[in-house]
Amino acid sequence: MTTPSDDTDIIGMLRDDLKREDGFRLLMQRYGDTLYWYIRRIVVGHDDAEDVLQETAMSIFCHFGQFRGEAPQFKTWLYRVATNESIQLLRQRTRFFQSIDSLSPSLEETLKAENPVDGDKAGMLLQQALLTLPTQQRIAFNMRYFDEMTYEEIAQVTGKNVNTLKANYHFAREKVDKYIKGQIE
Amino acid sequence: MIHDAEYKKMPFVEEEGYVERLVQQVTDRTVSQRRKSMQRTVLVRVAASIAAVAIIGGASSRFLSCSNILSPDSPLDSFLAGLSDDEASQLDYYDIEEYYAEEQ
Repeated sequence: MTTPSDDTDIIGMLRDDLKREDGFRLLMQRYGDTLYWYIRRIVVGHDDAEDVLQETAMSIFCHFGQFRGEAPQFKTWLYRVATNESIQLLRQRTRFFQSIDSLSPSLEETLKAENPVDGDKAGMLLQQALLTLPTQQRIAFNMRYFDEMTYEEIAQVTGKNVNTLKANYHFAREKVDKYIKGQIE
Repeated sequence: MIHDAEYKKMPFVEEEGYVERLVQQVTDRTVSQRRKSMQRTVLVRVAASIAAVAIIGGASSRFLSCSNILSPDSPLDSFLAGLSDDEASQLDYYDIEEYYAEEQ
């Protein structure tokens, strides 16, 4: 997590034509790693995560002018761009009229194929459990659980109501627990 | 909840330093693509300006060439200006009906 003044500096540089590139480089140094893992947990595949990170970086750099907020909203804006790009890639993977939620089996296959059998079994089981959730719920769960964001921040990213998010997170946790218990027993 | 960098990565496995290198590559590629795009925009604007000047210039030169027909320096005017008074008066008398009458 960064201090507000760090983000204020980056925003100031990005809004200055002469310092824009340096500001973007600072932004990527600070958030590139976080954005990669956030994207990776949504799209699952290694190559897909690389592509989405590239698209996200381009969108951030080219459309920064659309960001009207200040430091407190900066991180959630970056997450929103990354979320939109990730969902766009998942949509490209679907066929006509298919929901992105129907991609869960193929994402689970990718998860198993790209991770060693003797790898992190608990982590693998958790990811498999998360893939049983609807995509929007899974994304919100990731932000809350892995990125430790507040419900207010998640609401800014997803545009959902805070109370709805709290209820969704509660149901998602129950579902994940149930799945994991079922696999262990 | 586990609070370390590894926790965020689970269960995905990447080589040591892979993400750092990827982020650097993505950053460089984005900056370079942005520069190219800006250069393209400048080139397109210059080309559009040149095209606009050419169109306006073409239109005005067409206007000028139209007015040339009526100008005193046109080939017809030069021809008429080179005629003597007698030759000019012969042109005045020239009549197509007379010409046909002579032919018949």
